[in-house]
Amino acid sequence: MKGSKMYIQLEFDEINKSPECAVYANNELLYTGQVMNNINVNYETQGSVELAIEFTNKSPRDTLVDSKGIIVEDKNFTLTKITIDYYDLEELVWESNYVANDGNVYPSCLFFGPPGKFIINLENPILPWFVQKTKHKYNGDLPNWEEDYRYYYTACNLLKQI
Amino acid sequence: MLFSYLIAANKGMSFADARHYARYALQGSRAIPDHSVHNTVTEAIREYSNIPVTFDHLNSFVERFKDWLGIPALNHFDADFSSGTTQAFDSFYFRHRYKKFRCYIGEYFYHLKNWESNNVEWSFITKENPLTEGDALVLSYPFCDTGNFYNINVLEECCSKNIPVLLDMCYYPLTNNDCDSDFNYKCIDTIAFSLSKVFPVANYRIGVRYTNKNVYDGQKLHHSINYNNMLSAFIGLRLIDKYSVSYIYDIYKHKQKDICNFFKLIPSDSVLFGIGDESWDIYSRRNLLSVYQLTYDTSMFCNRICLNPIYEHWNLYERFKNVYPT
Repeated sequence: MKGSKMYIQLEFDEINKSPECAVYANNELLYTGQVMNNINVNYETQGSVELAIEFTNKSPRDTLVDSKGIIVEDKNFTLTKITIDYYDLEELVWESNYVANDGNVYPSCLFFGPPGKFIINLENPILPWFVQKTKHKYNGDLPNWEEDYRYYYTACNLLKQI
Repeated sequence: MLFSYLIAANKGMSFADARHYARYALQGSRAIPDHSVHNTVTEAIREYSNIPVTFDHLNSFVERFKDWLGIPALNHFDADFSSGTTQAFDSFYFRHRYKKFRCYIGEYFYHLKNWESNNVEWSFITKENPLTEGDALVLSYPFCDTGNFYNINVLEECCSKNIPVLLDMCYYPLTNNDCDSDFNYKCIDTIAFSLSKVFPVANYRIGVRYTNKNVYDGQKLHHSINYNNMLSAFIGLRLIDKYSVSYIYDIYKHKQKDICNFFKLIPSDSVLFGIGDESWDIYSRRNLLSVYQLTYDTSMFCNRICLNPIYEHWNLYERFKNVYPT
């Protein structure tokens, strides 16, 4: 479905043993390959968006354990930040699940250890969703943020004309 | 509101920051950041660090100030340096601490904040609650709520009731100076002026206080022994030497008229403001009351719109006017 463009910036850290991932939005593949510190993708849609990051190249052989069963080496990585249209989702990134391939679901898990998929549900355009979710943290609980957003949107468009 | 958002968008602000900016932009009474004045202040600071410091600068500033204002009636009063009008207010409060403080609705919130937080007896002047003997009156002229001059015949009543009066005239240099400046009233205890509203020097606290000749308080003592901020006085001296009292008014009066015409505001006598109807309620005193932690109904006050951000973004305003229908 065509709509407005979303610019998705993903940041990863503690990337061990060359993991690979695939990034999907509403099941549409946007990226596949090596996990890097920054992966940026575009997606065009309107309304609900299921953003998924799948750990694609993990196998049991990637996990080395010592004689006591303690993991001494592993292939894994951590998601540290999601930015959509330059808005850092900040703590909203925790409103997500990590669904492992064995069926276990780990809420608020940004660590890619077991093979599986990180899933977060968003809206496009992101800003109204973001503001609603953050409860107007910048301005207290002032009402009518939707009206303010229209002013902002109009101002941004007007700026292109003048 | 749209223009406030336009300024914010032009600055590249995110929605959250733009929203914050837009809600506060047209409130308050910050001085216009005139570039020439700013440069003069910078030069004065540089000069101050390179010349021998003498008390002459301090005294010259205070002595020349009344000529700069062009109010001959001030000759009847003693002048001393004041850290903005605020120091004069504090001195007045203390001198008359056993009286009941009075003011009109719309007066500067600083007074209300001080009186409330210090459990000082005070009340607004209303028809049901008029001035009486034993009161002390604080009166801004031009009036704080509108920036407008008005008939100050209340001073006659104050004389007859032996009510000491503080006249706060910090907005005076923002006007065309066309007002009743006789000030030949024995009730006038203090007349306070400041450069904070006319020039962007609020943080240097530059003002002059005129008091009845029988006042000799701590502030006057400090002035008599030159125990004041020399740098502030020096900056003030350079400013009044270089600019006339109507410098800002003369530059911005046409712009004020243009803005008020476009946004359907009533121009204030003080060039910094326009007065808005209820469609401007978003720029009521809500935020200021919140900062002062005061709980008054915002509908008690005028929608005094600070035009400063529009002056600052004049080119953007002109472009906006061309494409946006009124």
